[in-house]
Amino acid sequence: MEFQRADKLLKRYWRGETNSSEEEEMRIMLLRDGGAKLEDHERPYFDAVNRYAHADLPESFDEKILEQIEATVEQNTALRFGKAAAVIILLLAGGYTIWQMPATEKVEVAEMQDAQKAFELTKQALYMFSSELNRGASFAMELENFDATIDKIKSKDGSSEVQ
Amino acid sequence: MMSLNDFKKEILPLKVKMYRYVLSLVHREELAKDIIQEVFLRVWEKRDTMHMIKNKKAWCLKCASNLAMDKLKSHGNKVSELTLVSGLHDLEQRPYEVAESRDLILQMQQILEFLPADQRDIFRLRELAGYNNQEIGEILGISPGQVKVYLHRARQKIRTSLEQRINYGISKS
Repeated sequence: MEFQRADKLLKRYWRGETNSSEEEEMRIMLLRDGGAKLEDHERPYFDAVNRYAHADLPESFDEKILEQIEATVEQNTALRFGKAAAVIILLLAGGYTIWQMPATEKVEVAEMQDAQKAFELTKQALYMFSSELNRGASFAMELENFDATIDKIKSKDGSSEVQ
Repeated sequence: MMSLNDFKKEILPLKVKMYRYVLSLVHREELAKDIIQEVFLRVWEKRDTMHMIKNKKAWCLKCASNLAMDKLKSHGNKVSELTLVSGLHDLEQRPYEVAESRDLILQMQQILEFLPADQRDIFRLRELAGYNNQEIGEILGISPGQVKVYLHRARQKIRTSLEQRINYGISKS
């Protein structure tokens, strides 16, 4: 009965009609008793395929991989903390250096900052003044013309009174 | 980003079939183990971008296959160095098993040599690694029907070649 089933599966196998579970069942049946049911040319083939198809990793494999992965996670966490610590140390060192700077150097820095500020303010004031000057120029010209006209009228009136 | 739990759920279960596939390429247990380990570590290093990879199984197999090719180039492929059967470190004590193991590897190498490259890959994935037609189709980007056709041709070729070897007395036995 088993022989018939194995033979049927073998024929279907060579035609490419079997599925994975049928192939597994067939290999078990065929390789029992040293592969007595197989032809001479088929025996080494099924033996080789069977050995490769049942190769397995040791149980400790997962553990080993996860250990390595967890080690990288810890390394990364340590690296992140290290970076944050380095930034904090730099900031503290910078602050401390400024705090420790001699008073004269601080005054010089302040004076330099004041002079810069004064220059900027003067520049702005001059710019404003010059723009205001331009704006009043036309008005001043009109006033000048007005004065000239009044002078002319006055001089005409004066001459008529004399006459 | 892939978490450790995602890694355990999605990547670790790929190990056995991937190992068998790599073993069929390199024929060395220790080397195959190292390659699988390296692939998994690479996946973990790329965990920030792994979500963009649609077919992780195919990606891992491709990575493993490339690594196997690189290692074979650097190690050479001498049958005398191959150890398929576990526990063969004490060679003097178990010469029969050593010889048997080497015969087995030679047998497999000859079987694979019968096949053209495309059929060889499908044969490895199906017969040796244990993927089904649907999975192979997804890995190689072809339909399960095409996989079936290639597999059928591969088996026919192997059967004919094995018969010829016996008939012409090429076989070792």
